[in-house]
Amino acid sequence: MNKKGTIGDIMMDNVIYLILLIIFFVGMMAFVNSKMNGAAVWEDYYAKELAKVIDLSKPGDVIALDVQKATEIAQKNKVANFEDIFSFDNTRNEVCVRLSLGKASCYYYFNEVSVTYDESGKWMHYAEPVKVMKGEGQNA
Amino acid sequence: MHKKAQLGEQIMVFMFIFLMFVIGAGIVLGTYFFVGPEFDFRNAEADMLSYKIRTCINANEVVLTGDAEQNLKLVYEKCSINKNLLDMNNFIKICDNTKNPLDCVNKENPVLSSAGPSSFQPCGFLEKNKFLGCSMNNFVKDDKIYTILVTSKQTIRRNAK
Repeated sequence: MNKKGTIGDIMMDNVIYLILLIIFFVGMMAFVNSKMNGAAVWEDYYAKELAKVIDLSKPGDVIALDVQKATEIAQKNKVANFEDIFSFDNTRNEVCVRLSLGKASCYYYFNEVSVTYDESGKWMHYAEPVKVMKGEGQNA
Repeated sequence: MHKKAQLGEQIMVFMFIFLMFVIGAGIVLGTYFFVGPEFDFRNAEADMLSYKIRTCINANEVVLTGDAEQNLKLVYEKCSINKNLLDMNNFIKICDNTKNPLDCVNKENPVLSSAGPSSFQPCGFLEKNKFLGCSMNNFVKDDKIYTILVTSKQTIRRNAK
């Protein structure tokens, strides 16, 4: 075999190793990153809690939940529209929560009720910001 | 290239892939143990379903008779429970005259028994999953003691929405 052929072979081998390593590294980074901000865990939590609330509700009930934590995580994960965080499918009796740009976490509710918007036509209502005083009570 | 060298190089590829697999598995396992498994909601769901059916029966919306199929039909209709979801994720069984609630697990001819998902053990009576997602309660109706068994096997799903 000539020298050029040998050098080409060695180069090719190294390139393949490098590509495999990059694929592996990117995959691992994506996996760890997806777990780091806890989006999946909080999606799981909110989907199940919402299913619980719906399962225990009766027709005509109005439910208000504080979802500050969910909006914080969604904002970190670049979810542009907060209205997309929660979705309810009344035909399938399913609630879905999406706190990142990937897939949503879904859970079925067995209660045969329809989840609808309130009169404003929105799921999400922004509350007045609460001013938190650091160190409050320490100097009292 | 020398044949021995070629063989050595091929072995190195396997070593490389094996090493990546070991490192990857370590990272995945480490992350999994750190973040923790899915939080188990099956028991809470089974309890809620059991409560809903008991409330419904106690409010006389469903009157239990000797016909198990009719009883089940009435529970679906009057207690506003989605039949398809129940057949997919849950199992309900109501027995009468059981001294011990556990007797209801294997009792034949119950007052009510839903179809439940196929190959689904009532109350997870496999040693490994014993009592997971299982709710077992007694209730009194018209001076009769009933046992209600409800189970859930639903877990979270990741859908592309």
